[in-house]
Amino acid sequence: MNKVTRQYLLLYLMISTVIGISLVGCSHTPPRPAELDQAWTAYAEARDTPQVASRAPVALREAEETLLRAEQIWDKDQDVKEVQNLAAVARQRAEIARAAAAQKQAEAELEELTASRDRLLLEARTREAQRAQEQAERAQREADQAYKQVRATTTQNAQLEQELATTKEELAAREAAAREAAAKAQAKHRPRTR
Amino acid sequence: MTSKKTVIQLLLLCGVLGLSSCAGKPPAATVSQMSQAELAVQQASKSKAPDYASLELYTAREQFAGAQEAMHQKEYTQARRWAERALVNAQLAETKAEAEQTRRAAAELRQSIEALRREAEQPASARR
Repeated sequence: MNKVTRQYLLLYLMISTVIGISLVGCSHTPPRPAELDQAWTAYAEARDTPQVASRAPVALREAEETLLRAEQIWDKDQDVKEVQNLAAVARQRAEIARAAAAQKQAEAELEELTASRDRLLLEARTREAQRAQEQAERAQREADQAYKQVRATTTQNAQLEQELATTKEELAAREAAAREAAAKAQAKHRPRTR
Repeated sequence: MTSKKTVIQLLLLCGVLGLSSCAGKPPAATVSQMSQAELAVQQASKSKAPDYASLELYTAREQFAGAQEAMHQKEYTQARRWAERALVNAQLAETKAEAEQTRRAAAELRQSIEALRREAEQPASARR
């Protein structure tokens, strides 16, 4: 019990010493510029944005380095103006990181779009070629059919012509026979008239 | 005798030091920061920043003008600070403009892709 109270007393003493020292310190130094903490917040927000962290690590590191330099200067000489300026620079660096990330993202998107446009163009060209081939094939088929039809007609014509010729021959033969018969008949009658 | 000599020497040294600081030769850090800022502002002006990040570019130019003014007044620390601000704002203007330019190119490409898709679908439906 006694030991515990002694420990508490020690702790109390330590805390009050720390507070006393810091109070003394504070009375000598100007208050820490709010801009520095605001810049840290802006930086943290950018860093905690996954896209910024992954796409603009260099710009983020530059922002962080500026902030660390501001902290160093604050610790060393409490130069309020210098720290405020560095804080403003760091804030803009965090903004640059955001902009750089946006730029990288847009670039990636552009690349993707270019690829899909090329794919579409290729598809269109293939489709056109296919269509042209189909058209050519159809024309060929049509030509073949027309040729066949012409050939069929020609054969038919030849057949008809042959038939005609045969008929003519038959007719001629029949005529000749008739003439002969007539001549024979005349020959039979002639002696009587003579 | 020797003490007199040293005093004179010391005085001379002080005079030289005082002169060198009074002559207003700007510190190397300021000079370097000024030229960096100038370069960045010029580069941003040549980029698409005037179109797509005019506010940031304007800020950078104003800050650089402030730096030049401070240089004129021989307020070199102030000049360096303005130059630092001008540099980051010029860089921000350029990066923002680049992002916007790329975004616009992507949007344009997306539109032309849409047109291609429509074209690809139309003859097929017309033929059916």
